[in-house]
Amino acid sequence: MTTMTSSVLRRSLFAVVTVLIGGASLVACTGDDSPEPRPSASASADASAPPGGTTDLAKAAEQVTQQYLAGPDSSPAPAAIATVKGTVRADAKDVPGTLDLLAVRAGPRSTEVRWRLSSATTTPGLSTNYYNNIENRLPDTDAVALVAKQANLRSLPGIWSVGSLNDQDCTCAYVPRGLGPAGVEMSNLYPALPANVTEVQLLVPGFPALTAPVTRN
Amino acid sequence: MDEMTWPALRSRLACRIAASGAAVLLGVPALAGSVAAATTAPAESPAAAGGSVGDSAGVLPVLGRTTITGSREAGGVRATALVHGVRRIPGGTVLYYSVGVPAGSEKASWVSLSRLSSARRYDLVGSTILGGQFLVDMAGKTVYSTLVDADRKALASPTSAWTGSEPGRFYVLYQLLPELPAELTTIDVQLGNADIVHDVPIADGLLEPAVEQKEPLPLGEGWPKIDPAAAAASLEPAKSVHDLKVVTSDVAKSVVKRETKKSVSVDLAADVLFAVDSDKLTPAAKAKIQAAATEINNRSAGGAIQVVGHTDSTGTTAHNDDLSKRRAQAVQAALQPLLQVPGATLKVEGRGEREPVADNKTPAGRQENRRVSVIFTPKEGK
Repeated sequence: MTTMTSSVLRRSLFAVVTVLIGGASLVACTGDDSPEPRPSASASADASAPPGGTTDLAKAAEQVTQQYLAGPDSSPAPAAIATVKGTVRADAKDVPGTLDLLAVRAGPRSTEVRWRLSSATTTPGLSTNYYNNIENRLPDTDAVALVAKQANLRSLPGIWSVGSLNDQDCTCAYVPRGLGPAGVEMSNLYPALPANVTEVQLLVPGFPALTAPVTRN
Repeated sequence: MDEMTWPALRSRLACRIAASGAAVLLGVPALAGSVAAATTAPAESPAAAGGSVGDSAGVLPVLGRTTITGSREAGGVRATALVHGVRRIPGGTVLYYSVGVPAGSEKASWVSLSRLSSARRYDLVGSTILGGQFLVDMAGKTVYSTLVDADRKALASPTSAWTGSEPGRFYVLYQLLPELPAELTTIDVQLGNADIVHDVPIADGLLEPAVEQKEPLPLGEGWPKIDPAAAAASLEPAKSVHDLKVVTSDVAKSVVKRETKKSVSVDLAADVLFAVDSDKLTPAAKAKIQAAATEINNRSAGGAIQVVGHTDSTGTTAHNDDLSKRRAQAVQAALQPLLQVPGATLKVEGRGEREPVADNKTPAGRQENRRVSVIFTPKEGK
């Protein structure tokens, strides 16, 4: 009983401390563009909070699981921030398709683009060489370009070599093995965007350029 | 990163730490979502789950999230992956992550995910399917892949930690990767089919409490126990560090830069520099060659600078070899007086049609292949 009480008290105190820290952080998080350093909430937490025990860990895991895995709809497909109709190339034919841009996340060292391809009907066997460059010999999407007109900049995903020039990979998704109305979400990673860039265009073969705003971390 | 940027970034990370820690601990998903919307990105942002760097406040660090589509097929299971830590240890880096498929999914859907994790690079992961995740430092032009042991087996969660897992739960996994540069504070994590968890903060030390991982380890039962000396004892860690080539250009693609840490190639579009089949520079060439000179003056470490001509595949090999060399010589003659790099020497070469960068079957591809490349070694960090 004593142990339980102590545990409950400890968790309650921990929760209060966390809420206070969280609240302070929310206040501090306004005006993100300010270059001024702010007090570090983590430093306060490090000094005052007790170590997490397995019970706390299990409880936190339960909550995270409930949030994302409770059922088929617990982690729904994200809404598009921009959409355009075009075609996807499958078995050497052009099939009506939709390109959704889900997010453009610009960080200080890279830019992540999350996108989704779908087709009205089930479409097997996308033509992989339609979406990649000759420099890369994998079924990837390294021909999908990111354009920032404000900086007169066009970027491609990064390419890296495993050992020989004929064995390369990229910081980009491989093309879907089959499409349908549900679509397939993918990420491509590009170099960092200059600070003045607020919108970009994604160039996917078979689709008109798709313009969307940039989110800064 | 400059002095002003890092404190701001650190402060933003701190925002995520405390706010998300509160949300997770108190079981208030809506708070986590609202924090994400206010600080970073839409609710679906992988970084939206927020998290903590060594935070004792957040018992369960969740530094970012993404989804992975099973088998890369529409209708495939949509798994959620969480990143819990990118942690420095002696001689290496530990990636802690977990993956789960929604309750009600087919148990067999795990198989479609395991194919994704390993199929990208069977050659790197050996017999361990769970070694197929990567860390990407785009600005540092480096990709890090799994470390391997003396048997060339990936230093990662055992395959037995994956199979037989139940839908509706997260299972924790780890992978050991090479040591990251000391100055690096964030990195991108590439999971599954290059599903990215962006801008993950890097911290020190192993996560606790640690438990032996011989079978699937549900999230919340502890973190996989890792031998802290394993990374330092890995086989040929340098082979797990890969140069990343970054390709950028102006929108018109008249000046294309292909960069690695060791080499910069500034490719000037031949259609801007020359008339068809000519080696006489056009009036428009001056500005493009000046752009190449500025790049060299700002970034070159000196030494040999190559000027290499390329053509498309139209015409005979002999003609293309000759034309590409004459064009390279014309660029060299215009470039030389613009350079201010002590000791730099220009070497000219014509490689004809032998090194295409685009498809010669299309007009756009042939246009890209017609170019003169100016190649130099960059100063460290440039």
